[in-house]
Amino acid sequence: MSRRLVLNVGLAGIYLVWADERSWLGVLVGIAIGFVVISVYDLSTGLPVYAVRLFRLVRFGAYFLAVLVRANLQIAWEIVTPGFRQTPRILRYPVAHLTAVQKTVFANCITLTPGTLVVDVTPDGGLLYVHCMYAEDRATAITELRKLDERLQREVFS
Amino acid sequence: MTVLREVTTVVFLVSGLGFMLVGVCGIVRLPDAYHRLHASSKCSTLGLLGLLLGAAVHIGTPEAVMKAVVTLVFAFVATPVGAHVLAKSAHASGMRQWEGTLSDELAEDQDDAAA
Repeated sequence: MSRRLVLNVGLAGIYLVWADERSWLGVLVGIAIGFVVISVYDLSTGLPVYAVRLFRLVRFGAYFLAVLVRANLQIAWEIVTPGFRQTPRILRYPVAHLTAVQKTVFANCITLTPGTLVVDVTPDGGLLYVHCMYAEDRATAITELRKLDERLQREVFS
Repeated sequence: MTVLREVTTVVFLVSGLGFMLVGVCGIVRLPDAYHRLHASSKCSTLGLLGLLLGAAVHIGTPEAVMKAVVTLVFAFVATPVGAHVLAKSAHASGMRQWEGTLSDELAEDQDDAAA
């Protein structure tokens, strides 16, 4: 899916250079041309509809931005109020079902979501060790990670 | 239109600088290396987002926006990876953990492997 997005933007770039366009309208036209080309290709080869997948990716982007803002507000609140209320743990989370690229994206998403930070990965890549700031209950923290994992698989890697 | 653009620029720049400031305060104030990394990785990423969006809105040409977007993509990939490396080396060098830490499964697994 991310490959298609890169292709879409790349086609827009080719159009901009080719048509010698330097305006916002040109950028929009380029992206629209790329969108139509990829849509037609996916339809004719029987792949899932590109518009739906693009919508899911954009929705994940919006969700991710909201989560990043929430993470910042949470840590800002922790910093400006006196005292510490964290209940940190370092947890293990199995990631053997993901490919190398997916693991990297997942680890980066974990670090940018509220209260979690990746500390280490086993040499065989089967486990991530995640530092959770609010993990009074271990099972709840793991469930939060699993939700992000599933969301990422459904909306970005599908 | 120019007023709207200037207001948007100022809002983006101030929010970006605010998050950067909070991140710096967090590095000084939070109790151990891992909590400090929480502050530095999240706040500097969002702070950079605010600053670059502010710059992109202020300049407003397609070239400037594209450069800002490319910089953001690299920053979103690189900042967490840097935090991972720092956290890993903090753990490997046995940095003191905050006394409220409930459990450390990485240390447990390493003890199991050593035993």
